[in-house]
Amino acid sequence: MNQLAEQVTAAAGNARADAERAQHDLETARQDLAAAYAMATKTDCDGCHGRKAAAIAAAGAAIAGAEERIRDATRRIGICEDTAEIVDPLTRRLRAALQALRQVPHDLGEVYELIYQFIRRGGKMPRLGRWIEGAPA
Amino acid sequence: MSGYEEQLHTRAEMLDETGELAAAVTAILAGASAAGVDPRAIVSLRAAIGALDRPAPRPATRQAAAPTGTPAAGTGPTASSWRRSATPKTRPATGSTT
Repeated sequence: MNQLAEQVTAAAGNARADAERAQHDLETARQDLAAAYAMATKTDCDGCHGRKAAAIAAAGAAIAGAEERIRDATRRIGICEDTAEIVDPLTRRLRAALQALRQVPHDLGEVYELIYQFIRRGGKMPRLGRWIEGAPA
Repeated sequence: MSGYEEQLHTRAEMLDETGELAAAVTAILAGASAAGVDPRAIVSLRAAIGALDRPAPRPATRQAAAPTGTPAAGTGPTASSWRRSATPKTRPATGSTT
């Protein structure tokens, strides 16, 4: 369980880092798009119109790509948060169960202390009580 | 891109199904009760079953709304419902042997 919890935490961290990188790339792409729209073109075109259109298209594609990466990272973060909502309470339940099971030998020893002492001293239990020595019930 | 996260989620859901563990401990408890073990000696067994058979209620997952998500959590049989059908009937302990 600890390993799974660590994996979920690491995956959530990676997804958040990806989201931040994509957000940064989105801002850069938006600036590039603004710069592309601001590119000057001449009446006597020497290829400037094509360069401007290509720059606008490239920036637009970069924006779309960054937005898609942000959506993907956001979805991954959501899955990790859902998983953590399962893992955290499950870990607590398993720990509680383990603690209770570890208590069983102590409880048995406490309740049957006198009987165990009696048997260790060579005492013989009545037939109906011999299950405590491992005999079939 | 989200395949790894979905794998982790699926694994967590599988581990969250503790009904089988609860049933195993319940069987031990039933055996102990049938053998006449003092109920005070198996209080912790009951506590373990209680811990295992108490899945926390969860809100609807984000995956449920996603177009390519895996089945939402909580759509299958719960640990409680599973255990109810799997739990053997136990007869009460016959009391202390002391």
